[in-house]
Amino acid sequence: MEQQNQDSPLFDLQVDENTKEQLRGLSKWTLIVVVTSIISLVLSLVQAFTAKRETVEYGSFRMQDKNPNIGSVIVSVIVSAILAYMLYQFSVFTKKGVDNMSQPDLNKGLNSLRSYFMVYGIIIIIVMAIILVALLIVGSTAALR
Amino acid sequence: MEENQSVFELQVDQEASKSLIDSARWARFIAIFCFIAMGCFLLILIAFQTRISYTLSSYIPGMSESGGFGVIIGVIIFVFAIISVILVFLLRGANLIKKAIETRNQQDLIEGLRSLKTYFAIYGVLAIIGLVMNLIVLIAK
Repeated sequence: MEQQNQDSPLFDLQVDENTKEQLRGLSKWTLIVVVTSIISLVLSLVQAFTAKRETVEYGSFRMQDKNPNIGSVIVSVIVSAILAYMLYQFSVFTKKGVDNMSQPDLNKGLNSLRSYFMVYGIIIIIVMAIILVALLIVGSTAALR
Repeated sequence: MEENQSVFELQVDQEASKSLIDSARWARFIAIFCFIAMGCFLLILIAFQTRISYTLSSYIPGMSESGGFGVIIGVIIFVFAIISVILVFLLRGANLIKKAIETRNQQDLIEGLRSLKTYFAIYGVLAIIGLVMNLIVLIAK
């Protein structure tokens, strides 16, 4: 019975004026992050496709500046684009939900925020797994020498 | 009258609560994982101090072994300090939002959303700074 009461809308948290203000601010800043991310993505693609092989000199120190790996740039651009899209969805739907008092839009926005953090977390796990495997390979190679 | 008003008000209903709780869990995981990764990175750096110092001094003439390593450590600690500030806001936001949903505390929800907003605000400002610097480098080339 108590559980039923807790689940009923009567006991739901309200999206009051203060909460709305925070959600609007959150929506504004996430949109700024999205726009900046997209410009950075375009820039990194331009840099990757127009990069030339250069020699960096510092005193007697010389180093060949290699062309960036197009494959890794494309993978990071795709991942960043997916994250940016989810954050954009959150920003747009949350603002729409708060401004139009639309519960489905607000829910859709919050769901996009969940997807954003989930994908972010999964990417971190994958990257760390790759680093760990690379470290193991390097370590075992060094031990065999 | 009050009843009618509450029907048309937005609420953190079951669906929204679930989304917020999941967001908070993942955000907490990301923040804690990043803290651990930064700690491990610093430990690895200190463990390989002699090797890194030697490599640096052999590649860059005029740089002493301890000086080169000191510069690297200084830069990394500065970067990690900035990242830590951002992560603290993310972690605080995640904890407060989770607590707010579990205890149905309105004030915690507001504070949690505020921390999350600050996280994205710092993130946004740093992203803009990075973008401007990137543009300057691109134009200078």
